[in-house]
Amino acid sequence: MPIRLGDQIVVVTGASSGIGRATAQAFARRGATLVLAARGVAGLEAAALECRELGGRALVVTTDVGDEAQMRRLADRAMRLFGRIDVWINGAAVGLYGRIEEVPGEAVRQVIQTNLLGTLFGTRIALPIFREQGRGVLINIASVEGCVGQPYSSIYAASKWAVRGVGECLRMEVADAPGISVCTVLPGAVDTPLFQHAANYTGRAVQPLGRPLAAVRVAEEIVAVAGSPRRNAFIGADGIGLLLAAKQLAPGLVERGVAARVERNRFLDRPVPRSAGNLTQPLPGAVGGGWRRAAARRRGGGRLLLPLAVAALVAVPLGLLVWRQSRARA
Amino acid sequence: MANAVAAGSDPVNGMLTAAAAFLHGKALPRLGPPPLCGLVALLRGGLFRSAADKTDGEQAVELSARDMVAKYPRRRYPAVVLGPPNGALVHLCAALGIPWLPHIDRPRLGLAYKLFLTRCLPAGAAILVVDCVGCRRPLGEHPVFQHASSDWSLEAELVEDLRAIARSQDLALVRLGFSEPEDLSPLVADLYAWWYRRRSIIARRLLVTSYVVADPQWTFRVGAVPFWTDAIGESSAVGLERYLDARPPFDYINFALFQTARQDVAPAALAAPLVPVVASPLWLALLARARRRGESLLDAGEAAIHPVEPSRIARFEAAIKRIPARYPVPAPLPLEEFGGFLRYAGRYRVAVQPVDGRVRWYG
Repeated sequence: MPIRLGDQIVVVTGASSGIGRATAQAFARRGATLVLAARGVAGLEAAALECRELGGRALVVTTDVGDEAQMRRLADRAMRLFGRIDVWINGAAVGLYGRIEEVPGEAVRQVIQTNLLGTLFGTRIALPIFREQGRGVLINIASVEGCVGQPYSSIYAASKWAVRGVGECLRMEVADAPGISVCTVLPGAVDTPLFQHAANYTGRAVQPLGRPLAAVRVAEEIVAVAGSPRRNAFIGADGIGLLLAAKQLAPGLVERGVAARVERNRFLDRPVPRSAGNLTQPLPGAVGGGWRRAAARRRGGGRLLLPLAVAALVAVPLGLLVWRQSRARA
Repeated sequence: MANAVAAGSDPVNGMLTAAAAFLHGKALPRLGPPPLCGLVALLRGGLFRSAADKTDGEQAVELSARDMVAKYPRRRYPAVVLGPPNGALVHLCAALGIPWLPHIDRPRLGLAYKLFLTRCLPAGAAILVVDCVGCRRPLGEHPVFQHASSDWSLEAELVEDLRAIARSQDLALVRLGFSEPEDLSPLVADLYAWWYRRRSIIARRLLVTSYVVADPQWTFRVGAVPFWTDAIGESSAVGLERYLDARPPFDYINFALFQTARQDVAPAALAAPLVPVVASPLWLALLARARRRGESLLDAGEAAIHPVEPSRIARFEAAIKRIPARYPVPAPLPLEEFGGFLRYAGRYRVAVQPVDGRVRWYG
């Protein structure tokens, strides 16, 4: 049964920027009460102000999601003030671009700490509350990179792959509590400041692959998932089903295709110094990163996955045909 | 349906059903024979008669013991408890994942129990024997306070049988000595609270049940600390009050208190009006000690009615399921961890004494 969102208590981590901030706004528009968490107090205050203007209530709790004690404090404050938590969204994430052997160890640790440990801590803290309430919706924001790898993204992809795994395990663990839902949201490329904020050790400025989806669209989907929980919700990842099927049938072909596409479209023709981005300290937050406009100006700014999926669709039957014929000859 | 009613209210049968159902991984089944069975029995010109009904004396007791052990899953257990019907004991057995064999009124262990202990206890396992003088009265009668003694009050032959089987099977014999049925309740309640904490569950809810009512499965599912009372008289209320006085307050307190059934009550007397527990000021005051909400899971009418009617217990089941919290049923608590907890058990009126054999998990 769809859940009424107007009177919901919603905790959002990573609420000062990008998808988290857009999601907070989307819930606020429906009159929900938001508990906003992130490291940067300025971005949080701005997000809270937007939520209130949109008709929601908002509480700001400065939180580093990688610190379990701070996450507990976040939940305690929400429970003390509102007495319950209906939806908990683990949205905080940082990006890291670079070859696995070239990025500093500290950067690896930071990405895992925020993206994975942050999600695990949030989950560990939200679940007992949900169990006591007998209900609640946990939404973990993963990424399409939690299913399809890319070069220069191994740490980020590892964290998102793990987040998807956590959701899968957890759903089985809470199968005894029908009032509790665990959802994993897997967005494709989204227009957020993540690309500007990401740690980058590639030597070149990075951009989203193809024309990214507006964060507002992703936020609306997340609200829909909170209302009608789903296991895995792909957003802005057209053709992902086809691509995943193609990966099973012809993994080498798909990997070569993705790698070529990343080499062609990931980088801007602009050298940048090695940077830890927002790994260790928050940077000014915003919902969008201005990438949709940039993509519109570029030629051939289509989505990444659809062309890949179509290519795979053509290539896989061809490959199968060739394989069968070679077997027949043998 | 008089016999069907008796099957549901008989404390041994009711609690055994609960304890066995838990080890089978199930909630308390509907007590008493299924409705159609009564009809079939009536058509056959008689009501339910178990094998035990048809024979007399020692043979009947042995048959009844055989029925009892047959209820448990046939597997290896780290321990078995032998003791009188006691809700706290049922919860203790559930926590440890071990069977409870009712201490039936006979001076010897009997073949059925001996076989069960031989087959289900590996070498090094334990027989926990409850030795409780006050438990020998029918449940619900007024207790006379006695200090737990360190000497066995059980029949010498029974103790000798237990020692013999412990020696021959390399089992440990441990005496759980206490003087009144409710003496065990604070220990078990604290064990649950301690264990919940270890599982990162805050023990917010106290579930007080009386007489035959004990459903370990749903107690775990709603994350409740179980506190059992054998009756609903003043002394039971005082016992609960003493327990509450010495612990941090619970957010929620739930009562599922039934009038005590006694087998000697004539069916005609069952219809006589009884005082509803939930209207008693003594119990109401205890309910009011919940920090957030205290409520009886049964309404005044239900609580007042003699629990011989199985549908009343079914109402309790429905009521406990309405509690929103849902926690997983944990794997059994290892005896070593129970032993660790027991090292603090000096505060309770329960003596845990290894008698024979090696007891690695306690001492």
